[in-house]
Amino acid sequence: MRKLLKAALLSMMAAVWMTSTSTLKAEEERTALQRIQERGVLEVAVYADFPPFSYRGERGRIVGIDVDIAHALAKRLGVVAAIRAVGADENMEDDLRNNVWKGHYLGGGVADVMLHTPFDEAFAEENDRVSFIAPYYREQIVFAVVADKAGRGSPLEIFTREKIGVELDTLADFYLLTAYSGRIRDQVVHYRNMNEAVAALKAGELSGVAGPRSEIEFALGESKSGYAVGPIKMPGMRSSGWDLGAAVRQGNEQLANALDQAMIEVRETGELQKIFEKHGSSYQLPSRIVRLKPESSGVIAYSDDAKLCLRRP
Amino acid sequence: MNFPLKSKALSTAMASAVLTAGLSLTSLAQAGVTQADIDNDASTTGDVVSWGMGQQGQRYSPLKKINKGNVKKLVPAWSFSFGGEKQRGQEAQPVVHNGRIFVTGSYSRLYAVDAKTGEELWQYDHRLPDGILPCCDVINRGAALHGDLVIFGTLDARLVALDQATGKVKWRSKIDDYKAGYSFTAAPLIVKDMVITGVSGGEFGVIGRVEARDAQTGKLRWIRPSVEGHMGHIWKDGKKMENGITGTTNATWPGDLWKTGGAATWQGGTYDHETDLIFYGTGNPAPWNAHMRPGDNLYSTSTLAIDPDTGKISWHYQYTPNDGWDYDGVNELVAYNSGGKKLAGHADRNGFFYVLDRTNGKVENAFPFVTRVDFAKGVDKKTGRPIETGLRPGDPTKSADGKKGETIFIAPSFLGAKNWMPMAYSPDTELFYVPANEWGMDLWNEPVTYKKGAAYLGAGFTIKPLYDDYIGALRAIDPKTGDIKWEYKNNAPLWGGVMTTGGGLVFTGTPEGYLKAFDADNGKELWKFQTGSGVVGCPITWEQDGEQFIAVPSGWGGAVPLWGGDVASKVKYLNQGGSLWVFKLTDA
Repeated sequence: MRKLLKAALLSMMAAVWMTSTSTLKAEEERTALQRIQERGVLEVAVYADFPPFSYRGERGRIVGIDVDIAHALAKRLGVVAAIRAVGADENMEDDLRNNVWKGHYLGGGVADVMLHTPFDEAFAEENDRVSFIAPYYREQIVFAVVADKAGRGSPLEIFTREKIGVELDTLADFYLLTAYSGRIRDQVVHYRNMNEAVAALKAGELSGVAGPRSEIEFALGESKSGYAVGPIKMPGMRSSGWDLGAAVRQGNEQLANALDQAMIEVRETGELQKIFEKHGSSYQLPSRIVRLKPESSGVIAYSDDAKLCLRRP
Repeated sequence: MNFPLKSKALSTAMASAVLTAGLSLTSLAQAGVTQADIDNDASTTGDVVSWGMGQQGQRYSPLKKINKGNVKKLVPAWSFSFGGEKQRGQEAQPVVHNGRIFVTGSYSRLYAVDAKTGEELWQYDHRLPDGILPCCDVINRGAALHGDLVIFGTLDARLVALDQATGKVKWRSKIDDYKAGYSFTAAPLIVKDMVITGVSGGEFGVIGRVEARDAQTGKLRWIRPSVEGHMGHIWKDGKKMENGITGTTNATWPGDLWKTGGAATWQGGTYDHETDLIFYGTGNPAPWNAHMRPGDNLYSTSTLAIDPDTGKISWHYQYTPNDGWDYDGVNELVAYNSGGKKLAGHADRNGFFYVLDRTNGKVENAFPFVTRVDFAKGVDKKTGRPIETGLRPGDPTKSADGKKGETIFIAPSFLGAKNWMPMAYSPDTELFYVPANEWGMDLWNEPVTYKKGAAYLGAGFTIKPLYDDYIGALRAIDPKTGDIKWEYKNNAPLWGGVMTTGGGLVFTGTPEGYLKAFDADNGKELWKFQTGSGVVGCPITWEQDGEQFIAVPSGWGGAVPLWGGDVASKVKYLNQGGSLWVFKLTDA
C-alpha cells in the first residue's frame, strides 16, 4: 500500500514536472541529482543494527554516525534524507547490487547513495557498476586489553593464554584463529557483535577484544580508561585499516560530484569530527580524500597527506 | 488492528467455541490423511501424500498404465498458471489427495487445484515481510498433508498449516527469526503424527537443527541440534526438558567454534518405517575457511539418523570431514532393500555415491558417479573416510600480502555432482536414477574483499562446465557395482527431481523446458513435452477414475542462474514461468 502511494506520488510529481517542460526528451535527460532535488528527498542506504553507525535508538528511531552524516549531506544538497536501513548480505558486492545499482530481486528498488562502502582502488576496479565517492573515515582494527595485562610480554603472545573476544566472521577473527600457528585459536571467544564482546570484557570474562576501533570505543563508553586501546602489529597482515566512503550508481555524475563536495564541506567545517565524537568514537581521517575516477582508470588525484585536500578537476 | 475490548472478548469466546468444535472433529480429521496413508504412500496409487512419493524417498510408483509401449500418447490434460508477476524457480513436488492437488509456488505461495479439471479451489499467498534476504532464490519444495491439514514452510521461516478444503489458516509456528537470515524452503516430513523440519539459510553463526512438532497443533515435541556440544530438548507434558548434548563437546571442533558451527539442515529428510529412523542431511561447517577449524567438525556434511520417539541421534555418517569446498551433505538418503540387507543410497555433492547399511550407518559401497572427483581418490570402506588427494584451497591468511592467492581448479563445483534435486530408485530394475551435473570450479583466496563495509578475507570462485556439449547427465546407477548402465546428457545443468514407474519409465525435467520420459532399462528417450519454461520441479504420478496422471511444475530458476558463474551465462536465455502441467494418455 505504501509502495503504491509512493508510486502514485512520484507519478503525480512527474506529471507536474512534465507539463512544466512538456518534452519527453528532457525527461530522459534529467539527472539523478535533478530528480532528487525535485523530490526533495535523498534516499540513503545504511546498515541496520550497526552501532555506532546506524542502529535503533530510543523509541525505535534510527540513529548513529552514518545517519547523522546522511542528514548533513542531504542538507547541503538542499533536501531531506530518507534513511533506508538495509540488512548486510553475504558480501559487499551483494550489498552494492541490492542497494545501489540493481535492487534486490525481491523488489524495492535502490537507494540514491549508500554509506559505509569501501574506498579502495582495487575493489573499485572490480565493481564498475558503482562510483565510489566521498571518503570520510578510516577504520582500523584495534585491541582493547585490560590495562594491567597490557604490556606484559609481546602484545599478541599473551593471548596464547588469555581469552580474547571477537565478532564472528571478521578480519580480526580470521587473523587470530590462524595467527601464531593456531596457538591463539583456543582462546578466541566469538560474539555476534562487538557490543556483546565488549560487554563480556567489562564483565571480566575476557582479557581483551579485537575489532574495529569505532565499534570498540563506542561499546566501551565511559569505561575506556580501564583498558589499553590501540592497534597491535599483526605479523603477516597486509593492512589492519581501510577507508570508508559512499557509493552511487555508475553514471550519476552530478550526484557524485555534489556528494563529494558536500562531504568535503562536512569534513572541513569540523562537523564530521563532531558527529563521531557525539557517538563516542574518535575520528580518523581517511588516507585519501578524493574520489576514484568512475571510469575505473584509478585515482584522479592522490595524496598521502590526508590533510591536503585536492579537489576533483 | 485495534479491536475494542468488547469485540476482543467476543472473538476469544468464538475462538474457544471453534477450539471445542475442532476437538470433536479430531476423529473426522483422521478421516483425512492418516499416518497410515502416509506410511503406505509408496504402494497406494490413488494418491501422493508425502515428499518422495513414499517416506523412504524412492520416487517409484508401481503404476503401469502409462508404459514404454504407450508413453508416446501422453498429452496434456490441463495446465494451471501460478499467476501474478511472481515467477522464478518452481521446485515443488505436488501432493494429491481426495481429488485435490496441492502445489507450492515461488514466494511462499500455495495452491489447491481440482485434480480432474485444473480449476483453482483456493490460493494462499504468504505475506512476506520487507528485508528478507534469502540466499538461493525464492523457491519452495512442497507441502505435507496430515489429517485435514496441508502444511508448508515459508521464506520468513514460518510453518503454516491450512485447511485442505478451504485454505483457511489453522495454525502457524515460527521456526526462527528471518532477520537473522533463517528461512524455510524444504517440504516438511510427517512421521508418527509429527511434522519434521530443519532450517534453511542462516548467516554465519547459525546452527542447524531438526525439529518435530505435533502435526495438528504445531506445538514443539523435540529439537535436535546438528553440531556437537549443543543441548537437545524434548517436551513432556508441555514442559521443555533437556535431552542430551549432540555428540561430545570439542571432540572435533577447536575452541568455541562449535557454538557457531553451521551444518544447516536446509533440505528435507526421509523416514524409514522398517528401522524407525528419520534421515536428515546437514550442510557445510562454518567458518568457510577449513584451516581455522582443524578437526572433522561433526556433524557437518553428514546424514543423521534420528529416533523419532526420543529425538536422539542413533547413528551418523559424515561424507566430507573438515569440508573445505562447500560440499553440503544435505542430499537425501533413500532407503531400499537388496540381498536381504536394509540399505540406503546417497548421491553426494562431493561426487561419490554411497551405499550405507541403514541400520548402523556403516558404508557398504562408495564410488564416483561423475567423471571427475578431485578431492579424494576413493572412500576407505573400513574407516568410511575419503582418501584425500590433498587438493584443498590455500589458507587465505597465509596470502595476506595483498595478492590474489593461487587458483585451484576442482571438480565437482560447490553446486555439487548432484544438488537438491531428488533421485529415484526402482525396485524393478534395482537401479538408482541420479540427476548429476558435470562441472568444476576455480577457487582462489581474495585478499581485497569486504563484508558489511569491513575488510575481509574472502574466497573467489567461478563455476565452469567440464565439457562443451553437456553439463547435466541423468545416470542409471547400479548400487551393487557402481556401474553406470546408461546416461542421458543434457546441455544445461539438471535441476529437477526424477521419478520412475512400474511401467518401466523414468521421468525428469530439463531447464530447456521439457518433461522427458526414458526407458528405465536402456535410457532411450521415448517422449518429451515442452512446458514453456524450465522444469526444475519434481514429477509425480497417481491414478484417478481408472486413468493414470502425471504432474510436474514448470518455471525456471533456483540457484544456477544466481550462482552459476560461467554456467549462468550459458542459461541466460531461459525464460521464467510458473505453472503446473498435468498429463494423461490421449483417448484417441
